[in-house]
Amino acid sequence: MRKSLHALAMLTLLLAASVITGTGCKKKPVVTPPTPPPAATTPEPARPEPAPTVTLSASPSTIERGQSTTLSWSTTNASQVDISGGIGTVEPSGKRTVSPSESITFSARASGPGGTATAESRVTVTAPPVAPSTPDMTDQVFFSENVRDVYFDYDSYDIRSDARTTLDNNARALGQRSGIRVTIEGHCDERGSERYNLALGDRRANAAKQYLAGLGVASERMDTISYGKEQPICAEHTEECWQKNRRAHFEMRR
Amino acid sequence: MSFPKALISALLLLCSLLPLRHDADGQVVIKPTPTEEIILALADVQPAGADASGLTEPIKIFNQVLWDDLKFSGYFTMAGKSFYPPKPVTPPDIDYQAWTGLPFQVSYLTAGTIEMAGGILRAELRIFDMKQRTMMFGQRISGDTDQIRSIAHRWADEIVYRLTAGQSRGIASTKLAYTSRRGASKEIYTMDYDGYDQRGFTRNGSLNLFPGWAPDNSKLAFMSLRTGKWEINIHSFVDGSRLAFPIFNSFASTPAISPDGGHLAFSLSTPRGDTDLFISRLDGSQRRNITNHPKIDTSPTWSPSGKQIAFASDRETRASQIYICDVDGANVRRIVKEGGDADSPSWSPDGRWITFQWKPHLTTNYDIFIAEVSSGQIRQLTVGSGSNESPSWAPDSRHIAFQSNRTGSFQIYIMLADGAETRMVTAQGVNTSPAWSGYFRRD
Repeated sequence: MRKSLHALAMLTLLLAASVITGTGCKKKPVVTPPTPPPAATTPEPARPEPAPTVTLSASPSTIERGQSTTLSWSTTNASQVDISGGIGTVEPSGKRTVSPSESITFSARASGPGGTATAESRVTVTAPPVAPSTPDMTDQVFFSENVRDVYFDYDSYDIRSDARTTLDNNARALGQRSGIRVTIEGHCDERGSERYNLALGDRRANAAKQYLAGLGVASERMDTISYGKEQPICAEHTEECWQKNRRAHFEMRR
Repeated sequence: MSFPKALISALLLLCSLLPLRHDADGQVVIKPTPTEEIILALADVQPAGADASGLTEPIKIFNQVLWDDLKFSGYFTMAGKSFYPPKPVTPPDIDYQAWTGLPFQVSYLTAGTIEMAGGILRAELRIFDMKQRTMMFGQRISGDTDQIRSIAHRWADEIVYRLTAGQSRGIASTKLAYTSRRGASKEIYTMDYDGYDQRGFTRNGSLNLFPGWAPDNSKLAFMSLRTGKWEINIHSFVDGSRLAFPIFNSFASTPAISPDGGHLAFSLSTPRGDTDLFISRLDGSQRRNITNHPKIDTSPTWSPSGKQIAFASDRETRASQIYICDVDGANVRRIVKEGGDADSPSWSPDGRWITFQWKPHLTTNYDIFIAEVSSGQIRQLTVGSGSNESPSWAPDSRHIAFQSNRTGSFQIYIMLADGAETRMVTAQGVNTSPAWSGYFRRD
């Protein structure tokens, strides 16, 4: 159960990563092309009633975040028209000004006695141009959303299977942003001695670093530092808390 | 479980919780067994001179400090002041006869006077042999009014030195280095052995850990994160200046200066990923690998001969254990074979003992233990009072400083090496990793 939840979380992360990359970067070629509106289909061979038709377009189809675009639609033979994306039921033909904050595909659904028809229009939202004075803002957001801490067993610096999954993902994320440099902090729970824990934290940070290096992340991009048990993030004397503290924590280096 | 069985197991449990020093065999004795018990009486020093007005407070402090020092030395049976003859003792006048009516025979009596002359305190101190009815020796010690504690410490050390025939020089003038948490940082501090005169040594706002003295007290070695990477720092204790010690491109920790003052043992992670022990000169040159094991070797401490190292390693078990090896890395042997979790060894200056923190299997707190190096016999010194960690020997090999969280936060404690005379010497903040200095020079 725990594992499947974790896998799900990973999947969500990967999705988030690809969307942000696709819209936030100037390297456009990898962007998923807008889905072409499917032809209005009326599979029902209904003779008595004419099938509805619908068209939907956005102009412009690409905007910067904060700007707006105009959705236009028209239908025939429809008794009800709905548009997704929070717009709802609309008149048979019309225009609407929208300002989505993320890329979105609007979908118009026309239904009538003769059946239903749908049309889609994709609006791509790009991030506003990054101000040159804060070049690492988006890296920071990308980093905090994609690079995760990994956890260890008691008195151990072995990379567990769950940590492997996390580090695989971290390596992919760092591969996408080759400008990001990281400090890997090794932390321990409160139970061992201060001296031993400081060495243990160093081994944990280095175990994570070596694993990432094995996946192709350049060693020069990764510093390690041990905090031993000096900086716990959880203060209770329970295994749940200790587990939170036995970690390799990733910080983006400035 | 029948009642008698339950009772027996309860008794067994009780016994196992009792300190090992209470075991029947009297083999291991911290206190030397003097041929004769020394009963020491401390007559309050008396004001002298023309102007005694400012002397009340210094004299009160002197009498208290002297009592505390001599009691903590562990050499003497302290004769309670309530038994003393009412008449103040003002040397050289002494009424031996008045001291014969006590319920015990006082072996030695110390008495003296303090006067103020030109803003300087002058103490004239004497010790009397009460059986021979003679003055044994006397000393004049001077200092500023804020040095009254030091004056008392000096006299205490003199008494210990004389009355033990040089067996100990007295530790009353020694110091402790330790770490003190201040907000998010930990700085190195020093203080008198009894917790007075606390002074910041580092002020870099970062983490500074595990101080250790050069045996002649000329230097302090510790770990610092002040540059954002862990480094070994060695500072002159005299002027605070930092010695040049190389910055390694890997994790260096737990420095320990050798008894000859010329070498440093420390833990260093290697390119292969080991955490091994190394020894180098104090400038980092002639670095050589002592232990060579894929797992963690840390916390080295030197034998007083400089020929052996005790250290902590998790090479055989999940948690760390205490080992000894020669300085060339040969003859590695484990000294605590019962498992559990042990660290922070400190080798006594007389070579006989190693003290360490140990959490035996199935226990939840560390306690302070000593192991006799020759026999491997282990004695438990702290029992059932929080977590007790990071012990450090005093230069007399009779006292140990350690940290304990028995009151809720970690503070520094000192005790006799049989667990007696335990005293908390810090109270504010969080204080850890005490390191007892060597003797300071007698002059």
